Amino acid sequence: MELVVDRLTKQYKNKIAVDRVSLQLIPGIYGLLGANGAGKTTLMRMICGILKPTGGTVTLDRQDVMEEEYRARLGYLPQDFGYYPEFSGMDFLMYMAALKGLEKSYAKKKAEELLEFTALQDVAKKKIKTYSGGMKQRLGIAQVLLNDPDLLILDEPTSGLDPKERVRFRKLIEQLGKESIILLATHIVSDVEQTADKVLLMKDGQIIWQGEWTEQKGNLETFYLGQLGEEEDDE
Amino acid sequence: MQMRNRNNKRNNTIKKKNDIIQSIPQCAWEEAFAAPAPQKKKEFLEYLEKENAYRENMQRQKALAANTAKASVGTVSFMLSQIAYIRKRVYLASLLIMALAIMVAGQTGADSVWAVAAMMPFIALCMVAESARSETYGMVEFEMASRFSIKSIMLARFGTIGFMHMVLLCILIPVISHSAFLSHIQIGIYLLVPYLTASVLELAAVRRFRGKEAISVCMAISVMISILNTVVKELLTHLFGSKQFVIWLILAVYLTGRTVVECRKMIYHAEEWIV
Repeated sequence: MELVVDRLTKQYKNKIAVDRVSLQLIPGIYGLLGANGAGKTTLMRMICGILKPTGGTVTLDRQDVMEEEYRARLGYLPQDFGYYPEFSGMDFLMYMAALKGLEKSYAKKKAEELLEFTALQDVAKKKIKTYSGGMKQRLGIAQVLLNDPDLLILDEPTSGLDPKERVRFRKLIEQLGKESIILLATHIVSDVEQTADKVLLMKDGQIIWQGEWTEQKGNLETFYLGQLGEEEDDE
Repeated sequence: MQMRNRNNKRNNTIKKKNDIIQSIPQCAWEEAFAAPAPQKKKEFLEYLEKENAYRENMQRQKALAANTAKASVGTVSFMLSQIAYIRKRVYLASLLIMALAIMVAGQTGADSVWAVAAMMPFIALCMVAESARSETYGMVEFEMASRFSIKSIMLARFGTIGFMHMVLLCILIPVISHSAFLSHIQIGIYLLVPYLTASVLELAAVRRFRGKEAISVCMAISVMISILNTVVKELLTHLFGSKQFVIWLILAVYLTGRTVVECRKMIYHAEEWIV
């Protein structure tokens, strides 16, 4: 299984948000680090087919991002998301399961499993508007896993989670990363340092560094800030 | 001194043991430590093969069942399932306005068509507000990234609500025609024009404004068209004669085309909703 991003570009009127990014990702966990405005979310949205690229292509095992079959294998957690106010947690998962094309009885069973897994089974029938921020985030994580995706795109997935939940989430990602491609964008460097097989640093719409990060290389945050500093010095 | 003696004693013991070990012939070692002859080796290997084959088969069946269960919903089934996700209040509001229109039609006599026409923009508002729900409540990204994307969802919403409104209109026309001295076609066109005008303007508004602000703007548009419809009828009565009906027909056809264009823009330009 391989995700190929080939010279992907997104240009707005007077700004290039993503500048000819090329990636080849195989199953594993990829941590995408970058400052605000670096282009991480725009890149992820193009990989999910939400934004049309100005140039370049995205394919998963040669299926183009615009094809239904591609999106059937995709799980996406946006950075900010809403919900229909009349939905309960279970209603939300059943609705998302319908959008993912899952058969109803299978979807119900899967939703119950995921609500239990994310410790939301006690509030499954309560309206989402009564949930805390962390509970909403856990619900977002649950919907990502409904269709057992081969490709997971997670934008700030641990925001709002307490440390215990963050550890549980990391363990889940490590398990999923054995068979799926996981692209994880975050500001929390420790999340990337501890879970990612490969780190991608993004700045001004370009990938400025990519590679494996090991303890021998030192502190990732220092390296990351150093890379940004070097680029600014060059300018 | 004591340490040296102890070490010497130990070394001598080790040397004696080595001498004993080396004196034992090789064949004696082989006999003592020879592996026992295999028993039922063939049966054991056959059992392992069967177990592996069974496990692989079970995994294949499980994967197939999972894929079948996961992918068994087709496009038509999905579109039909979206009917259940249209809010009940949309159906209720449309029915309520229609019921009110029927009551008014029964009581206002010959002017019933104009009274009911003033309510049509609010029925259009139900459709537009529901179609824009994804953007209003921040669900656009989820819906755009899923297998059945936002295009299918909006088509389902437009189709379902539009069909329901057409059915209600078909019920309303014969009710009004009892009191108004107009043909069914004339009544239909006079009711459709404010409905379509509101649809066109509100669909354009929803693409320009965001969230709940868009709904407020749409409501204002419905109120304006409702008032305008009444004012035009009162001040420009000559526009509603039989000879001028052709103008209304052309206007209705034009507005139908514009509504389709605006619906298409909404469906295919959902990317504009992403900030």
